[in-house]
Amino acid sequence: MVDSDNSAALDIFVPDFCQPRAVAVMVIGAELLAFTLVLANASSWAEGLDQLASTSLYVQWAALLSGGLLCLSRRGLVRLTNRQAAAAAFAIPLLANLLVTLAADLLARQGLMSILGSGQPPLAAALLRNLLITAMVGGVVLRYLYIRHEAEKSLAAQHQANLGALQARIRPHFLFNSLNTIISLVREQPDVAEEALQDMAELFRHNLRQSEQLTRLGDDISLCRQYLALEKLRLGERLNILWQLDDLDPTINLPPLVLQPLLENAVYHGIEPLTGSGTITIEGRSVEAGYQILVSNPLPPAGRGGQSGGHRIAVDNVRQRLAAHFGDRAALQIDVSTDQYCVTLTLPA
Amino acid sequence: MFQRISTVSPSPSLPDPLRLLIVDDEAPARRRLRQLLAEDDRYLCVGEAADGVEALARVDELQPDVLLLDIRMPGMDGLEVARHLQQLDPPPAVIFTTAYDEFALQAFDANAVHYLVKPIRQQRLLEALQRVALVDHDSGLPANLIEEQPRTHFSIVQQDDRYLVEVGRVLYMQAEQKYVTLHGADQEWLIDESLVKLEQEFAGELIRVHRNALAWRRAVSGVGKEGEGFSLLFHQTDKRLPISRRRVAQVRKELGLR
Repeated sequence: MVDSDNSAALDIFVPDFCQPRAVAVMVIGAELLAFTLVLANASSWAEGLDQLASTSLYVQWAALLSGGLLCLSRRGLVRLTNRQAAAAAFAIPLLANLLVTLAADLLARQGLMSILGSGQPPLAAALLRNLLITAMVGGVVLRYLYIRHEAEKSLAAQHQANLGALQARIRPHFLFNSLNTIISLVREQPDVAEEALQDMAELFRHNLRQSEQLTRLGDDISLCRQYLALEKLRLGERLNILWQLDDLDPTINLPPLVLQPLLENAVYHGIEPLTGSGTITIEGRSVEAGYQILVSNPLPPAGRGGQSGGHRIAVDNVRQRLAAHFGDRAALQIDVSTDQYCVTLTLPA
Repeated sequence: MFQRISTVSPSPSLPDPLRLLIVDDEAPARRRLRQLLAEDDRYLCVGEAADGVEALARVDELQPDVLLLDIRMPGMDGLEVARHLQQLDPPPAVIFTTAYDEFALQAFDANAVHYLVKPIRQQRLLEALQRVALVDHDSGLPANLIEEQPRTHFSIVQQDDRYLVEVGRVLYMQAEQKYVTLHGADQEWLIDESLVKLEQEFAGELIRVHRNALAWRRAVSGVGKEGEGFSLLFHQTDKRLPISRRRVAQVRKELGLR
C-alpha cells in the first residue's frame, strides 16, 4: 500500500473534491443526511419542515466546507500513504464541523438565526453531537470509498495479468522459424518432421490454454523439453542444453508455463545472437523455503543483439503470475554479468 | 554482368543460370532454399554462408549475382551485409528473407525492397528472382534503411582486395583531407568516408577530441598531460591523441573526470 512513486500516488482512494461531480454527489448525500436526521427527530410535519431548513443549512455548510478543504489539500493528500490520507480525510470534515458549529453558535447568540436546533442547546452539547455524527458518517463513507477503490484496483490488476498472460505467449518469431525448419524436413526426414509437428501441437495447446490452474513441475519440464527439441532442430549444434534438475520433486505445483518463456528468452537473447555455440543451463535445487530453479544463458558481446526490451516482457509476466499465485513466498531474481544472464526462480514447496 | 558473358556456352538458347548465394544462420533454412531451387536450371546455388562476415567472404570468392539474405543473424546482420555490398561495382542483387520481423518488414514495404517471409513459397521465390533478374543490378537499397544502426565492421578496400575490420578494434579516427584514418592499437586503416557521417552513425559512442578527430569512449583510459597541452590515453596501447585546447574541459567532463 505504501507507494512513493508518482503514478501510484495519484491513485488515491479519497475522491477529488475539486471535480464538480464529486461536489454534486456530496451535496446530495448531505441533503439525504439532513432528511434522515430530521425524520428521526421531528414530532410533526410543520415542525419537521422548519427543522429541515435549519438542518440542511448546517449540513450543507459543513459539507461544502469539508469539500473545499479536501480540494485545497488534495496536492498534499496524494503524497501521503493510504493510511495517512484516510486519517486526514477523516479529520478534515471534523474540523469543518467544528468551525460551522462555532459559527452557528455565534449567529444564534447574536439572535440572527438559530440553526443548531430548537431551544438553543449549549455549545458543548451541540459540538459533541455534531462531531459525533460527523465522525460516524465520515467513517462509514471513508470505509465505503476505500473498499470500492480496492475492488477497482484488484479488478484492474487481474485484467493486467490476463493481458500479460496473452502477451507472454510464444513469439511469432519462434512459430515461423519452426515451421520453416519443419518444412525443410518434410521431404528428406519425414519422421523427424512428424515428431516436431507433434511437439509443436503440444506446445501450442498449452500456450493457448487460458487457465491459470497450477500444474505439476514434471509436466512443465516435459513441455520445456519439447520446446527445446524444436529449437535444437533449428539451431543444431549452436544450442547446448544442460539439465540439472535431479534435486527437484516433479510433483510440486507451479503456475503453467513459467519455465518455457524463460527458456525462450534464453534462446532468443542468449543463443541466437551468438556467433558460435552456447549452453543453456537449467538447474534445480531445494532450499529452506522451498526450491529454486536457475536458468542461465550466455550473453553476446555488449552492443550486439540488442533486443533487450523483449527480455523484460516475459520476465515481468512470469513474475506477475508467480505473485498472483504465491504472493511473497515466490520470487524471481535476475543476475546479469558481462557474459552471463541468469534467472533464479524461488518457489514455495 | 558483362564481364561474365559466356563465350563457351554450348547452346545459345539457354542463358547462363543466375548464380545465387544463400545466407542464413539456420541450416534448415538454407536447406529449404536449396530444395526450392534444386529443379530449376535457371538458377544455380553457388554456395552458402551462415553469418554476415562469412557471406561477404563468399561474395568476393564466388561472385554471385543474387544473395538470398537472412536479416536476423548473429554478429553481422543481413542489413549490414547489404550495406557492405554496396561498395562493390556492380553489387549483387539482394533478396532479404525473414521469419518475423515486423519493424523491418514495415520499412521494407515502404521502400519497395525485395523480401520474402519464411516459410518461403516456391512461387514467391521464383517471382522475386525473376524480378531481380530483369532489373539491372542495383541492389536498390535506400541508404536510410540500411544505415539506421551502426555497423559492426568497417570494409577496408586496398587495390582490388577487400577485408573487414571489427569496429571494436578501432580506438579513434582522424580525418585527413579526403580520407579518414582508423587507428587500432597497432594498425591503421584508410576509409573513404566522411567524419561527419561517422559521427552520426556512432553517435553516443564517440567523443570529439579535435576538429578532425573522434575517439571511442570505450577505448579511452584517461587524459594525460603532454608538454603544454593534454592528450587522450588508450587501453592496450601507447598511442596518444592530442586534445584540442578548446575541448579539454568538455572532454574531461564527458569522460567523468574532474
